[in-house]
Amino acid sequence: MKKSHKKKIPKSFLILCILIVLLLGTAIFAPLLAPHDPNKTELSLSLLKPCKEYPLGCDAMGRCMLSRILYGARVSIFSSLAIVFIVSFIGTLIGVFSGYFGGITDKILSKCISIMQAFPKMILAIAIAGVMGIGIENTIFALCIVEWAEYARLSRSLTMGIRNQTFIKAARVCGESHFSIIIRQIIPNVIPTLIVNASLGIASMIMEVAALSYLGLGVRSPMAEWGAMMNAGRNYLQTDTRLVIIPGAAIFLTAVIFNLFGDKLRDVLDGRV
Amino acid sequence: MRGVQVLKRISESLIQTIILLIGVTLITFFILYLSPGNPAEKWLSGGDGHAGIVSEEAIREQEIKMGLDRPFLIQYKDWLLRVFQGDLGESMITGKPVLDELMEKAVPTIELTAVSLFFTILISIPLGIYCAVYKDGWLDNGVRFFSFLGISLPSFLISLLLLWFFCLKLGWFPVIATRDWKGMVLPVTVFVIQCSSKFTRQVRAVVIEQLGKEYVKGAIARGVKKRTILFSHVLKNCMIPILSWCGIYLGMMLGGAAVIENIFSWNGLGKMAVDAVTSLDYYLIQGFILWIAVMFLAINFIIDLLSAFLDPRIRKN
Repeated sequence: MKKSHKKKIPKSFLILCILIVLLLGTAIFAPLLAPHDPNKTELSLSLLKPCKEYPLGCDAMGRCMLSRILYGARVSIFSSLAIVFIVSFIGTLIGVFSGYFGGITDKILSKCISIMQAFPKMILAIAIAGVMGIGIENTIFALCIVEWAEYARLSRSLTMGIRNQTFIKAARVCGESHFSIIIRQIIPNVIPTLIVNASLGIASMIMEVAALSYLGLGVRSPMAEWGAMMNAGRNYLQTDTRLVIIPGAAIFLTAVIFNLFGDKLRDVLDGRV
Repeated sequence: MRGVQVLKRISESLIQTIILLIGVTLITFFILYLSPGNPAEKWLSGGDGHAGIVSEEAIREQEIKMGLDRPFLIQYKDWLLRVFQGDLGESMITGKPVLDELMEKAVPTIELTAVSLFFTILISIPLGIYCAVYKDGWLDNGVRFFSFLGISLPSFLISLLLLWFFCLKLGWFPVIATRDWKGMVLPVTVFVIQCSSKFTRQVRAVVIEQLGKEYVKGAIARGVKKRTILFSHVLKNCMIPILSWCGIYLGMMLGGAAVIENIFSWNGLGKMAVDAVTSLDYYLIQGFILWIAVMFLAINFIIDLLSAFLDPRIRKN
């Protein structure tokens, strides 16, 4: 029965899946793929143009650009994945709880959501990350604090949409506990939309992590990160745009792939539901 | 009857805003506590980080002076009372009152915001409506492609590329922005690229949603002209969501785009915020966050009022 309704998965989606796997693979196996130590400075190689040994050349400190981009992928991709994972988990929990129980629980929780959403996200993230000090873990913390509300709001409204439907009432009449209803009825119904939303959120997280790093509030100094690399390259904009364009292109391409993936995922899941 | 309805809505909205305001001030005040450093020490060392020079006793004394030795809620209450009197403390770096500093830096940001928002609206609303009406046409596809690019491009990449091309390569604009139209062109361009990419999509989506509603089918069946349906039915219903997005963009822009202002050396709130954060100017950070959040709430309140007047469901009741 189920199989006959199954739509064929479009080819473009499979290609995007492969690209995502490649990106993740690059991030995981960066130490194996990188031709040089990303943090080794060699001032004689400063601003070296791309050549055989250094395919993307060297930065101002004579560090291999390719190795730094590969290692940077780790920080950018894993930290954004971590943020999206944490905020979707917390946001979904709070949103579902608030939407399902309603009443005073909902009043308090939805006020908390509104309060968080009264701050412009980037500004609050800058303030939190800045006050807590430089370091990728603080960046992740700051972005989690500002991002969860949006996810909570979405899962709350989704939950409220199905809360009063017959199958929930039926489950209740059959004596299913609230906890079990949330786990077995509510969550499976809201999860497709939340997954699409989360996958679309990855790209914007990559850019926000990079933006904080660009402002000098992300990773600590020698660590390779795309936004921080652009910040370092900014001073050489006039002589060598490569230092800005290469990490910029890395951010852009990663964001494009994740955004396209999210868009296609929505189409695929919409086709199913 | 209508007056009562609107009044009720206004008072509800006002109460909501006040509750949010309390929450916002609490969080703003709490941010200071996230710091691993000691604000009193920071105050004494004047932001240069000569922490070693300051003696323990002096730090204790300063802590008492700043009220840091008292319980959190009492500190919060004292701070709130001072804030209501317009006293946000003094900048730890320049020693000027935070409020003066904010006022001074708000002007360039407001200028930038006004121009950017104007162009964003001018581009996005007509384009979004057009794309919704001629869905899947060549312009719609083109706009979708470019707005996708706009969403995937980080603002600092666009800014740096524009800076490189127009300031360094062509020399059309000064590298360090001047406070006139010439200095404004590039930051506004980045703002407009970023915001109109999103806004056009949002307008398009809401118009498409309205066009699919039953009342549109009914109107077509009754033989109402398409033009009339679009302009006097559909767009009226789209007005409220579009208006509230305009409010969100306005609030976002008034916060000053930290990255954009920094790259173009536009001396507004966004640049000030980053400078305050890097030099750990706690009171300035606090004051700034509060200012932004209050602005955001005020804008939302006004938008709410406008919607109350615009919403035919409230009007006709």
